[in-house]
This record gives sequence, C-alpha cells and structure tokens, in this order.
Amino acid sequence: MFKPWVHIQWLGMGAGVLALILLPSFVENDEIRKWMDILMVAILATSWNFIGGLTGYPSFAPAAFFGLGAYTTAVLMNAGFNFFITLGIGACFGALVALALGVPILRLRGHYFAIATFGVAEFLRELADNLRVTGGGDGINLPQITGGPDYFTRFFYFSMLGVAVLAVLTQYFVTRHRLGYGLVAIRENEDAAAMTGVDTTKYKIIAFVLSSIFPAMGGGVYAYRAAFLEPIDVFDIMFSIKAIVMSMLGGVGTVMGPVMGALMMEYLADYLWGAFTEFHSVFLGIIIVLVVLFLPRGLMAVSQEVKSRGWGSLGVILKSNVQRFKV
Amino acid sequence: MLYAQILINSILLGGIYACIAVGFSLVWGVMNILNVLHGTFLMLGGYVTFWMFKLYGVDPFLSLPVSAAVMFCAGYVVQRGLINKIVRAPMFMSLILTFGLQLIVVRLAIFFFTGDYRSVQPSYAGFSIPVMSLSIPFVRISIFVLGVFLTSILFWFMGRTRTGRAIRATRMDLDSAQLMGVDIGKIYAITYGIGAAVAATAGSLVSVGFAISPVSDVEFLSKSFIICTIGGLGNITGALAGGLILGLAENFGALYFGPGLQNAIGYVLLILVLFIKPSGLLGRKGFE
Repeated sequence: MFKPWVHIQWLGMGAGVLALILLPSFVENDEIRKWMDILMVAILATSWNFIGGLTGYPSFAPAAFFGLGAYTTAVLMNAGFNFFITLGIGACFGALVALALGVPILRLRGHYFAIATFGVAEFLRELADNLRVTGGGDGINLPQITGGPDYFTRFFYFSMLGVAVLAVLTQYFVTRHRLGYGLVAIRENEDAAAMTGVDTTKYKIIAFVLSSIFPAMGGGVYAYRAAFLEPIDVFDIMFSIKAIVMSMLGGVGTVMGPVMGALMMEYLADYLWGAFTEFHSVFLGIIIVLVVLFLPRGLMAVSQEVKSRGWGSLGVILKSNVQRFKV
Repeated sequence: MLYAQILINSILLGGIYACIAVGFSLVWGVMNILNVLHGTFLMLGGYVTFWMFKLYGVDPFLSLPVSAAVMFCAGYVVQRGLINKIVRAPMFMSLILTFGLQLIVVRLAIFFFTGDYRSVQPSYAGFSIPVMSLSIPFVRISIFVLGVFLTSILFWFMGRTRTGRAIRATRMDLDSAQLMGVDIGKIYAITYGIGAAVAATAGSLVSVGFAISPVSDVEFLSKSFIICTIGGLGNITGALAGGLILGLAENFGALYFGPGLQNAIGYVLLILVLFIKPSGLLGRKGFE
C-alpha cells in the first residue's frame, strides 16, 4: 500500500539531517557550538520521550545516565581507550544500569517512580563525589583533543549529530512498531494493556533501557568536549528537567516534538536572555510556567488544531488548554 | 558515651527533619502534588526570621507566627492562581510547574539576599544543657520541642476542625467532596497555604540552629523527599518516623562510612524503601 505521508515524513527528516550536516560549512564556530548544545538537549528530550512520553513514566533519570556516560568516557579515555569505543561502552553501561534498576523501579508508579529516579541520579552524584576512580569532588581531567578549533568544533558537532540522529531514528521505528503501540497502551491504562496481552514489565524495561543509551552517549561526547568533569556538572537535575520541559513544549509522545521543543527552547533562550545571563533561570522558569499552563499537550497538538480551525481560533484553543485541567 | 551523644544528636536532628517534611507530606498526601516549592517556602521562612532579627532585633522564636502568616498567604495565592489550573492534569505537570516557580523565586532570592550563608545568632545560641557527661544544645532542643508541638497542633487541626475534615474528605475523593458542598478550589488553596506555613515555621526554626542560603532549598527538598518516602504518606506520624530514621541513619552512617557519604546514605535508604515497601513504612494503602 502506498502511504504518501510516510514518504513526506522521510523526506522532511532527510532534509533536516542534510541541513544539519551541511551547516558547519556555512557558519562560524560559535554558531556550530550553539547547534551542538541544541543537539545535546534534543538527545536528552528524545530519550526521555521513550519512558516519559510514550510510556507515561515521569523519569528524572536522564541526568543519571548522562553523568554515567560522561564519567565512563572520562575514566576509560584516561586509561587509554579510543573515544568512540568509550561511547559504545558508556552506552552499554547505561543500558546495563537501566536494566538492573528497571526491574525494581518500574514496579513503582507515579510520583514514587519520579522520586526513585531522582534518588538514583542524586545517589550517583554523591557516589562520584566520593569515589577515587572518578576523582571525587575535585573533578577529573580528560585527554585534550588535538587539532585546531575548526577541527575539534566540527568533530564534536558531528559526534553529537550522530547520536541525535540515532536517537530520533530509533524513536521513529519504535513508535511505528508493536513496541511503541504497547508503550502507549501502558501509558493510557496499564492494567488494561496487561489484560490485552502486552507484557508490560518487559515493555517498560525496554523503554527505560532505550531512554538510557543515548543520554549516556551524549554525556560521553560532552565529557570529551569539556575536557574536565565535576559531579555537579553532569549529574545535574537540570538536564532531566530540561528534557521533560522540551518534550512538553514540543509534544509529549511524538517523534519530532522533543526535537522541535529543544530547538525552540534553546533558540528562544538565546534570544531572550542573551542580554540577561544573570537571570537565565528566571526566564527558564517563566517559560516552564507558561508551557504548563497554556501548552500542556505541546505545540504539535496546538498547531494541528490551528490547522483545522484556523488562526482566528488560537485564543480559544489556548483558553481551553488553561480550562482543561482546573478544579 | 560517644554512642549516647550521637543518639541524642540523631533524635534532635530527626525531630527537625520531621518538621521540615510535615508540610510536604500534607500537600503530597492531600493533592498528590510533589511540591518542589516546599524547600523554597522553608528558605523564605528562614529569611523572614533572619531579617526580622537582623533589622529589628526580634527574637527568632517570636517571629515564627509572622513567617508562617506571610508564607500562608503566598502559598494560598500560588495554589489559587496557578496550581489549581492544572490539578486534573497528569500529575507530573504540577511537579514541573512548581519547579518552574522554584527557579524564578530562588534566582530572585539570590539577587535580593545574595548567595551568602546566613544564620540567626541570638545571645543564647551557644548555650547547652549538661546532662551527666552529655551536652544538649539549648537551641536544638527548643527547636525539637517546638517542632513536635506545632506538629501536634497540625494533627489536631486535621482531625478535629471543620476545615481539617474538608481537607481529609477532599483527599479521599475529590468529586464526592465537591458534591457534598466542599469548595475544592478553596480547600486546595488552604491546604497548600498550610503546607507553606508549616514549611516556613520549620525554616524559621532551622535558621536559628543552622546556616541558610537561597540555594539551601534544594537540600530541604531532597530531605523531604526521602523522609516522606521512608515514613509514608497520609499521616503525620509517618513524617515523624521518617525524620527520626533519617536522622539516625545519617549520623550513624557518618560514623561508620565517613562524613562524605552522609548524604548518599539517605538516598540509599530512599531507594531501598521504595524497592521493599513503596508505600513507606507507616504509609496507608491508597496513597501511592
């Protein structure tokens, strides 16, 4: 059967990736760095979407896996391993930890799950603060990359882009696969999903493992680029929060939503508080409040409604968003 | 003797922890909101006490009602104006919303109060009561006694007053309570206000015995997470038990594993309790 919209989606995604590949040929290093940051948070948001968006389990673990990957790369590169091999090992390590944690943690629901994942991230930070192999609170140095700024900016950019494309592609296939439908069924009603034959435990663990792999790899790239890590830098709960808010801004449970959310928020951020760096977090807070109140189902949902009802109804749509959940 | 002193310190610390967590437990238990602003209310309450002491020389224990009243109003407005709008949304929305507010308030607090650590130092700050060969710091025991006293008042309020009953009814079943004539929006706002007021009182108490800064709210918040999860939701004794357990675990953990891992022990405890008995040690069923 011919499905034109599938081809259009593929074309759109291909064009986007192509644009991102060509981007470094046209812009300055500063701009490349900015896009690298966008890609990094896009990775976090897309990964969060596996467990938080599709499955409906509000995880605060992205920071945990990000830090895990970053420290894996740091420790292994100091031991003489090749950078790309450490990324792979970091991904495997993240997946293993997610697997081991997933079995007990995914029995929890709602806030208890959120708190457990938060506890894991904070515990890992405390651990990194105290272990000798991670350098403790003093931090850890990584080998410096050789080559000029033009070279290494592009090197890190393309590494980040690779991870991001991998994450989005994985998500695309998952949402169109039996697994994705199972996860959405779990989100909508877990008991009903179990009754209709979805192996909920297995599905949830797969989602959790998927949500751990890419942040770990992104963390690895971040570590090599930063050349110095402190526990507080990478096991930062803000990474988890940003991932969640960006997914919400774009549209929870959609493939492109988290990416769009990351793009918009980082770019908006750059415009808005470029002049007020001191009040960065105030603006972030205001954006969070506005998104939660006016766009609880994300921009993708609003844009679809605008498409069907016209721009004139935008006010009505936003108002109904605010009214929807009030007491 | 060392053990006895550590035991006493742990119990005193545990009492303070219980104070810190009680408001959080109330808001979580009644409205199913993980209130990230809780630590912020604590911090602000501490600052009310600090500034009243610094500027007007008001004794910290006398400024408790002021900081409670101010934060009750603040909490009421936040719930009425913002959180009430998303009560029926998926629950992590309220978490994210309060997180956004926390970012704003903490940054502004750093701007206005600076990030320095402050502590209220009344003339009796250094006193301690010798009991045999042990010493009990006067301020800490006062905080402990006051904390337990305030918690009992809250207990009484929830059990015996009309508003308290309305709050409990809302917790059991939102829609039924509404059908019985409870003004849900108002009850939610009052509950949140009480949570904030209790937090502010705890913050005022903490500012006397410990140092506070705008960023200490995160520490209070994560302690509240741990205490409520260990003790369980739905009753105030859960917060007391959780606070005592955490106090003991931290102090004895620091003794055996070194002070660096003191915070990590709390998280290990949190994760273990979640694995073994997710509803907490004293939690009632139905509050998951």
